[in-house]
Amino acid sequence: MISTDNTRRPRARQRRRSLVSLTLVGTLGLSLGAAGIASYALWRDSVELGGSIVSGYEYFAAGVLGEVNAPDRDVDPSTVTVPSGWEVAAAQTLMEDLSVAVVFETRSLSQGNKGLTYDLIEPTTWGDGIFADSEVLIYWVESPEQCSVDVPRPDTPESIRGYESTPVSTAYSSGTNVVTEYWCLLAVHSPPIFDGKYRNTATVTGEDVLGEPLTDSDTWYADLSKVYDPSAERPIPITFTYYTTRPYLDDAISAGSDENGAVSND
Amino acid sequence: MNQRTKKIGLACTVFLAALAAGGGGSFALWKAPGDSPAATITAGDLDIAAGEVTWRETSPDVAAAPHEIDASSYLARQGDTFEVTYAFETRLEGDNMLGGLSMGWPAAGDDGALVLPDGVTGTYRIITVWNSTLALEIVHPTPIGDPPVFDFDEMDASSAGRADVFELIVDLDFAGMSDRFGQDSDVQVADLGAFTIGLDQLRTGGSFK
Repeated sequence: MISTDNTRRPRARQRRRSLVSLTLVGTLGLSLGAAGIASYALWRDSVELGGSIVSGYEYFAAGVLGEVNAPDRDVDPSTVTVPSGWEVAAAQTLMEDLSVAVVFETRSLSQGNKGLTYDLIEPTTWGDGIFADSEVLIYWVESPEQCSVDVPRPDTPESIRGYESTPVSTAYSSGTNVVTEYWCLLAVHSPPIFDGKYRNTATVTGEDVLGEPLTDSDTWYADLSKVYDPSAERPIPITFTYYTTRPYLDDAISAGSDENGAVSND
Repeated sequence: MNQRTKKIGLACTVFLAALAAGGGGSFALWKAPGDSPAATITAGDLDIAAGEVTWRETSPDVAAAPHEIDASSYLARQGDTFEVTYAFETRLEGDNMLGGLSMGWPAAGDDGALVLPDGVTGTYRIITVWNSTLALEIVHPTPIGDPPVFDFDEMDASSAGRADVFELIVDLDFAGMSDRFGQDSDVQVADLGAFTIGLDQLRTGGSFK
């Protein structure tokens, strides 16, 4: 009996061990299956969005007709001084014809919501050559052909205020065509008529052999005039400087004019 | 076949059966709706779809603003401001379905990363357009590129399911952008990047059942 009991007890333990093992295996399987649930069940959906916008640019250049330059960005990013050289030819013409007309040109562009305004800055001195002794005017002209001593000075549009021009308004623009404007330098030289003039008349009187009176006179004169050397004409700095503006500056200028719904500055 | 071999075989059978039962549960839970007979466990859905994208100029000194623009051809300048609106809709179905939103940009330097020119700043916010159970503004103005903080825990599909319509609104300010000179100068590009709005199923949350 004892031996029999001894043989049953190990079998019962063995069955229990097998049951425990199967339970563990089953639990492991269920756990892995549950892990499968979690990994597949956590859904995700997404959308990819984006977008971009680019910038516009501005441009300005000035110079004598057909020879414009942009500002030297390393020196002054908003100012152009017309390179010297034009004065020599102009002075030569002025000396010979007593008048000369020189056309200056500007090219402007400003995209987006920015306008562009520039100022022409007259030279503080016209040098010590023939220009200094001439009447010089600078004014806006619609075309190069209007820059002539024979053509009356044109009326200026509203965009021109003295030496200030606003060729590009602040209205939105995406164009790439520059706005070209012209300025005319007109010089008229009037040589002095009386200054430096010397005139001397010598009169001789006497009698001839018959006692009749004789008289004669002779005149010599000299006109002193200033001699100009066009090749020595000093540089005459004609300068253009520009800046861009936002629309609210327009509002400030035209306060009360709010036909487009702009904020009035009244 | 000895006893040991039988036990190993039985263990494998139990393991595979249990594994299959677990796996079967996972597929059944997400079975596509429509064809499933009523007796099948659960039908669910989780979907997010992008809607209309609108760019508007909002520059305060421009008389015509705010107005819609075509961003593909519009030229921005210093001082401009813009508002970009991305509409999107989410759908959740399923008794145990909880959803949460996420949003993110690729890392700087990676493809699709956010790139703004110097002097350009931006914020974004997300508002609910249609669904009264969520706050009107679920993401308050946040610097663009930063992760969002959502003003809700989760969207509960409940038994009826739900659909929500949102708008992601990006506000861009070009106040500090430098002016660009000449056609050949480098173009400044405000690239919002390829950002992602995700709808994720949640397994945690106060109303998770």
